Amino acid sequence: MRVLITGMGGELGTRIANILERDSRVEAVFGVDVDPPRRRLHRAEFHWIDPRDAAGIAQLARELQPTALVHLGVYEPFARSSPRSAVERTAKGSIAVLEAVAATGSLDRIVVRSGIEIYGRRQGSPQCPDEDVVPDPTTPFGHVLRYTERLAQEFGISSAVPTTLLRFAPLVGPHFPSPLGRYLRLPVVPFSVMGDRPFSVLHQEDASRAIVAALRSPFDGPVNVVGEGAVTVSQAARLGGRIPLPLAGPIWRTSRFVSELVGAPVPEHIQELLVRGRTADGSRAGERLGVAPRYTSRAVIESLFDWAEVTYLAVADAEEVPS
Amino acid sequence: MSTIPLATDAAVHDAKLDGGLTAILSRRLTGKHDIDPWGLDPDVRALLQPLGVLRWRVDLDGVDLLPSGPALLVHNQRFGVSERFVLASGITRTLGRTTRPAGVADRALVGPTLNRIGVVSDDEADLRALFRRGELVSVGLERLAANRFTAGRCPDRPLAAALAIGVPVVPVAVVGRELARRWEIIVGAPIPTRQRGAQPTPTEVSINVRRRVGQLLEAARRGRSIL
Repeated sequence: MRVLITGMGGELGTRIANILERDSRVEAVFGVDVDPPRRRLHRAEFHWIDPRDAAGIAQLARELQPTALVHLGVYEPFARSSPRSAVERTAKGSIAVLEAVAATGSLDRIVVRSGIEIYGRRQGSPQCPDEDVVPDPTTPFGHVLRYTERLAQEFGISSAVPTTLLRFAPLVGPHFPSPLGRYLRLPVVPFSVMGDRPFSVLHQEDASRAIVAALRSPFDGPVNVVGEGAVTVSQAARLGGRIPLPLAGPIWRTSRFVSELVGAPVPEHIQELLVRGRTADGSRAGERLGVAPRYTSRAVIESLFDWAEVTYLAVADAEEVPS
Repeated sequence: MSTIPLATDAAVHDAKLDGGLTAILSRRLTGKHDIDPWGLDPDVRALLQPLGVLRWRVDLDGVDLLPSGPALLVHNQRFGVSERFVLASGITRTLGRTTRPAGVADRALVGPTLNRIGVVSDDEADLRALFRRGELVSVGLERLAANRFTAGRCPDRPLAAALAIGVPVVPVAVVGRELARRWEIIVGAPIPTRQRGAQPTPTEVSINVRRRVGQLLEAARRGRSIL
């Protein structure tokens, strides 16, 4: 297997490269991103190419002839990019990489990082949607996810290869760049007094395990990957020893402005989560991927406030790596 | 680096309710209480359960017919105020199981508040997810205020969710008056929705469950002296 990873400079991309490069059954691991990998890689090759550079990616794909694509180049607004550049990098990067790998003819599987933001939280929509629910995004990030999924599915169908769409709950962690993580770490955490609805999150290790499992035995279609249980915003604040501040109505606008000033900008999809909550039914991940998240949503939030030292995690055992 | 506890197979809302008021208060202050994806808060339920016991005296008949796994409980309702809570309270007291009444509107304040005690929307996707977790979900037949011994039409969405997952539909008669303390619940035999051979259609199951609830109500009417 020759694996091409987009978004290799992110926490998740680096971790996947880290796991795959230690497996002798994986012939080669290549990656592209605008940022360099977050830790040292031994066998994996990183190519510093902007995802919008279609010509550069096409040339790389021709040279490398990847058989598997792990598309993690889906940029969350205010995680590593501004909202505008996140949309541009994701949209143009997705087209560029999918066209490039489809042209090689060597591809036999696609794994795409998506999110449960794709379901939207319109009034009357299900609180805990499963994969059978038709995506109805209500935020710019949700629309970008739907666009990316559609694009990947179209390329998957035209190339006759399985396309696994991994719909992750929001990823947070002590060293994971995320607007939700930054918001919850503020000393005073505003929450909606009109509901304080539950949301679920996912640990980055569980996300990595899901990606590796999807590479090992591809599933053609969407899979929700969500940490068990849920937490509310006020509960998350108390878990971190923060002060929960009840808010309602137009005061949210001021709150968002203040949050941005102090370094925790709140994009639309996070604002929606704070007011309407966000969970999904991830019970099919076990049967579709063969792995289920091991960390509960509450454990993930607790880890966010651990302030643990950076620890280079042991690479997965060989049986966890695709053959 | 501290270790992070791993998820267990136990359902989140089955978390321990013991520990008394001090333990509950401590969990609230530290944020270490449980909450499920639909907003059910076991501590809030535990605090309200004694109020249910004070408010209603429930005679539950046929409880051994309830499946041990997921099921859709379809009950009659007259004004649709107390029946769902009487049923949930009666089953919790008898079996210790949580019943999720379906049908709360997705409105600010009202929806999330009722979610805390286990009420959920009647959205098909939400109910499918609950059934996959092995939950009991209750739904009322169409309200017929004129006669408390008559069963109305069965709502479509919960039935569609039960048929999609293949969980049994259990007819239940709930008899009592809004201001009265004594209520009687009669549980009927489950109607299977996944059988060998031809699968029942939603219409067939709907008609069948309505008829069975009607029969249970008739049985309750004949024995109304007990109320």
